[in-house]
Amino acid sequence: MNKNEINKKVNDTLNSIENMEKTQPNPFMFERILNALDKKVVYKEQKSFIGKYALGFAVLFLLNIFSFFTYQNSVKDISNNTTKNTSTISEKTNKVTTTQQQSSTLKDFAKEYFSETDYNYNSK
Amino acid sequence: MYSEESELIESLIKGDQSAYRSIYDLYSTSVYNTAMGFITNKNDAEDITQEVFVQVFRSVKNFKKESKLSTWIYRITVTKCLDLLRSRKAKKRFAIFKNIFSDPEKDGEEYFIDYEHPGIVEENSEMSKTLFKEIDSLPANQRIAFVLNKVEKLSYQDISEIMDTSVSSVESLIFRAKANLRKKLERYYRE
Repeated sequence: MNKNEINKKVNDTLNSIENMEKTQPNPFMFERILNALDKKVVYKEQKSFIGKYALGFAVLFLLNIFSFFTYQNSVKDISNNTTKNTSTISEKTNKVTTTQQQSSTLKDFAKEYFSETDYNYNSK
Repeated sequence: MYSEESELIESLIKGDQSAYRSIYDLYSTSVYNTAMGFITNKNDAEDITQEVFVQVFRSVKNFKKESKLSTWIYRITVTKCLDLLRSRKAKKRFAIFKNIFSDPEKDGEEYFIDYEHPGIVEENSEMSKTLFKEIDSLPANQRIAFVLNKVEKLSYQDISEIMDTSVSSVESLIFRAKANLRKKLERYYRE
């Protein structure tokens, strides 16, 4: 479309509502209004609108709580395992130390009770 | 029939059913067509018409008679229309959550705006749909002024009373609305 055609189309569109006729509402509208006046109108649509989003947020909130507790438990497990490993390591270290102590005690014993020719306490 | 507006209001306050009917007959077409000009959905326009008249009948005792009854009724109509448009935008914003937690096809809640006004002649129907779609994107004040002037054929004076602003502001709003619509329509037809 060239510029003139576009301008014409735009003008026609803007004028398309110029000769608009008035339309009448539903013929039972007045009775509907009187009924609404007599009782409190419950906006079901609004309630369900709010209800659905409230439910959605509640689910998200519960998921977060669940994730939080799962994370807390996994942190506890890790720290328990770390403590176990640490104690295992320390047990092994103690054993090694004890073994070394036992070895030096044996050497001293050998030094005291055996002569050099009988036991070479320097050998490994 | 009531000759004076004040007599009509007094009868309304007393709860006279024939006064209710008179008010309804006088203003229902204007209210409905104003709502259609804003909302372009028949069911929503009917809901708004109902809400407007319920509010008018319930709170007529609080009407201070500082303006005409028609001005007051138009003001309530415009407020209800804007509230509905705001809630539509809010629904769109949260549509992602809605799609996660519900099935629109199952629930039958798919909301469809056809921008079709029953008062438009058939030869102009496509163009008017395009126009109403672009009116939907105008800022609120421009939209109010434009719809009241072009759809309801109200004078600048009447519109200024409804919007509680000056006549020159109304002129400026309508001028800006037309300029915005022209720009949007040019962009639309160029594509």
